Amino acid sequence: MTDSERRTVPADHPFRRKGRSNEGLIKTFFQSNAALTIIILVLIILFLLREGIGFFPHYRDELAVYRRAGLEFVDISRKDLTAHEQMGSLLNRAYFAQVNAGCRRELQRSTEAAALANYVSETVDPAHDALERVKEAAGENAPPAELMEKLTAKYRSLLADALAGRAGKGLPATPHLSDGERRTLLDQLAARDPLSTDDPALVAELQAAVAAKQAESAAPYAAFREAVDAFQDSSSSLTLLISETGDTVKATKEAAVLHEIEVIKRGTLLEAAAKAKSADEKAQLEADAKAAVTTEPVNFAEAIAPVLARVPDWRAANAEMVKALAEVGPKLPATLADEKANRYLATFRKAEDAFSRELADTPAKLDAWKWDAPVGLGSTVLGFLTGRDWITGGEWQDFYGIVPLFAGSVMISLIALVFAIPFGVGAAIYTNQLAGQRQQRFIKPTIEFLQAIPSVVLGFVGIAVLGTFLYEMSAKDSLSWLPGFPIQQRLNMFTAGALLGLMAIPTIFTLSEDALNNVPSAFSEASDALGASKLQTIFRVTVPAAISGILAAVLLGLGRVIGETMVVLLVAGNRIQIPDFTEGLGTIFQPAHTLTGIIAQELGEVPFGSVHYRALFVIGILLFSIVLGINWSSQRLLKRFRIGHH
Amino acid sequence: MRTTIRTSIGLLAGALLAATAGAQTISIKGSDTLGAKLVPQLAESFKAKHPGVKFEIAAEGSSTAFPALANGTAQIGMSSRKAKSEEITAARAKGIKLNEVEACHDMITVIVNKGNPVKALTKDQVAKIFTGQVKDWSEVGGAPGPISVYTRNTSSGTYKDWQGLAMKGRDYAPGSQKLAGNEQIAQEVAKNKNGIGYVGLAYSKANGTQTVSIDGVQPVAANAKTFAYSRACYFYVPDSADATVKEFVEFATGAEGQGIAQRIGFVPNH
Repeated sequence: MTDSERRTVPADHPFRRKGRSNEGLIKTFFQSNAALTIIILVLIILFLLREGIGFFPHYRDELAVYRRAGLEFVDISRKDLTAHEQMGSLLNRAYFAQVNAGCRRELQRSTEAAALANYVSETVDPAHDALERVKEAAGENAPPAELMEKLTAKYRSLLADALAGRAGKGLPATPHLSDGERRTLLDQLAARDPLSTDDPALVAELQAAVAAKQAESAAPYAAFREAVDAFQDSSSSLTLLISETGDTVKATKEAAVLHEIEVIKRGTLLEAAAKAKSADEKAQLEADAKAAVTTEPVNFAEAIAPVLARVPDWRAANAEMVKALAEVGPKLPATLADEKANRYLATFRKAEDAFSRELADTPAKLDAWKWDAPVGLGSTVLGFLTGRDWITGGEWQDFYGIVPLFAGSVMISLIALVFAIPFGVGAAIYTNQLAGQRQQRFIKPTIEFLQAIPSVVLGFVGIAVLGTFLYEMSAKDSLSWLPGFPIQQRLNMFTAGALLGLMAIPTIFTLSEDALNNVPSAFSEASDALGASKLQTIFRVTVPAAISGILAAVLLGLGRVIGETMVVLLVAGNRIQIPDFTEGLGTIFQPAHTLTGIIAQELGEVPFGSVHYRALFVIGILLFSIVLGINWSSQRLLKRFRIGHH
Repeated sequence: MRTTIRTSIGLLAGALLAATAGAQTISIKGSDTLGAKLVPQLAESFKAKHPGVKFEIAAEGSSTAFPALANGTAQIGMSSRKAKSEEITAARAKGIKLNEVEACHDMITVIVNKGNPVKALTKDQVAKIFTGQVKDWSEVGGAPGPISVYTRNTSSGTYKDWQGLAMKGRDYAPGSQKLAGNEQIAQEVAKNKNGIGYVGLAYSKANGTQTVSIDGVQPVAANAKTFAYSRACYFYVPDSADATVKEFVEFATGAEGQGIAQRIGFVPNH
């Protein structure tokens, strides 16, 4: 504003004041809105940090008690025991797989007969239940005859339905039973007393046949069985030691924790007393506070002494297992006839070396262990970030390691992107470059409409439709060549990823479409002028020009997917374990837990202010940073590689 | 005339006041085991006798009961485990003294898929399955197939009880899947032929599942004394609770309430 302009409207002129104040008001209004949003954001971050930051010192204190009380000492050997159990389980499974391989036909016959009997039992179940209840209610007296008769008639009609296969999916097929056997079985079911649920004679017979066949096919493997048993038994003295010592150290820990709780209790009560409204209440609370601490602080050095005195026993138990491991190898059969049994055996052999090294290291670890070594904050943070165990609400010790949760989140997001990128980007390219006006008007709102589906609804669809469909489909023999088929779990990463992919498609589609739209038309016109075909123009000119925008869209889609909670909580199967990648592509059909899911599942129920509560907040901070990082890099990407906008 | 109108208005207002005073809401929070079937039914029967009393029942796990009691957002807490001393203290610090009332007894039953030929397990086998030492049904005499273990999540009283009752305090197998409630466990076990899980006795008759006898003892109410996995369930009531709340608790633990408990599949107090 120049001086001459200012002079045209006097400073105190009402017109000028009016215009200025209105403008100013509106400006202030928008300014304060923006400021408020920023303040709220800052407050959220501060709140997250305040709740989360206390986690590490608290967790360190917990770990310090874990060490001082000697739980850590027991866990050194417990790790061996767990590994030993896993090794034993492999041998055991190899043995049983081999034994059962010889009785496949008997097993099939028995299963089919049982399925048939089950089908009939389930169909008549309502009537059977009612009959039972009436009889129970009558007690000693005779049940009312008329009611019994009516229910029995109902039973008969249901039974007739069942035998004719009219209920549900119809009578299950029994390809391995002869027609005569099938008829006998149905006759036996028809003749069964309405009040009985006993298996028909034929089912029992077939089960007996399985047992006999199993005994027969086990006979040549008696030596194998003995070797497995000897191996499994070799851990018995360690098991005993762990359970005895475990009780001792747990008692130490509990005493320490109890003392701490009592001290805190005194503090809480005194605090409440200071704020009490009436003198009576105050006196009462103060008296409570005085009586709150009933135990002495624990002397850890004294408590650990008897445990450390038994180190020779631990060494002996270790030596026993080392010896058993060395002995079992030569006794095992070189190969087994059954392929699955062989696989278990091979896995055992492969793990043998690592296990024997682990066993050999243990005595040194036991000797080196010090109860009073300090627990550093750095190792606590490292333990949180690289810990492979997330164990909460346990009786022994809670561990907060996020690797399994992180792995679950990453795997599910990747699966989601595998679905969302081709669909989202493909649809964007088609809509923007190839579709006509009318198609565009239909496709765009339809895809964007996907976003309107609430995630909890998608979760239900996932459980009830997609999960069940995949689970049942995968059980078909004709599809068993696919990796991971038949699926073991109805709720798994794949189902969750597929649904999340669906949720990310609108984001990726809309933003990619925008990016394609932003490519100057001069690019494609020039390409056309040079004689390029439509497809050449799209894939050589337009898409490369828009690639930064498309990548940014994909990243934003990823941000949306990784932060999504409801679907993964409902559908991913909630198994806190690092996926077993040895299954190859089949890994995607395993269940998993996620960073978002664990917060949703556990936050509502943890005691306010506890270490567990804070751990969940730290995960919240981590998620926040991840999503922030993804969004930031997508912005950077957009700016840095924008073509045609210089 | 005017007096008549006045009196009738006065009477009406009085009646309204009385009605609103009678319309009381009892908020009950905590254990899923108690809160999904038993307490709603108890509430229904109680309402039939005391019209005007309303109930709000939230069953999200035993651990949710105590903060709610301490904050005053619940008048009765349901728990399938004993309260921890921290939880009692937290409430006490806010001026609320909690009384423990035994609601009924419950048995935790092991369920497997209906098509599973395994109908009996030993305590040792159950411990091995839930800690992950036994991974295949063929190891416990079933048809070959990898065992899928379904457990409650960590806020559940049953989750902790089970660790103590069945697993000697050991940790759950890392491969176990944590589900929100009894119903979800029953549902997944019904869908998965290799599934195994544990549920309260009241849920053991779900479609598609069957119970397993433990050490030869069938999980039926009559065997409550000999069955391996029996436990007590509790109500926690503040000392300062009003008469209606106390009456409800008395009703629940009285003959009629216990009758309802038994009908649903809990074991009445003796």
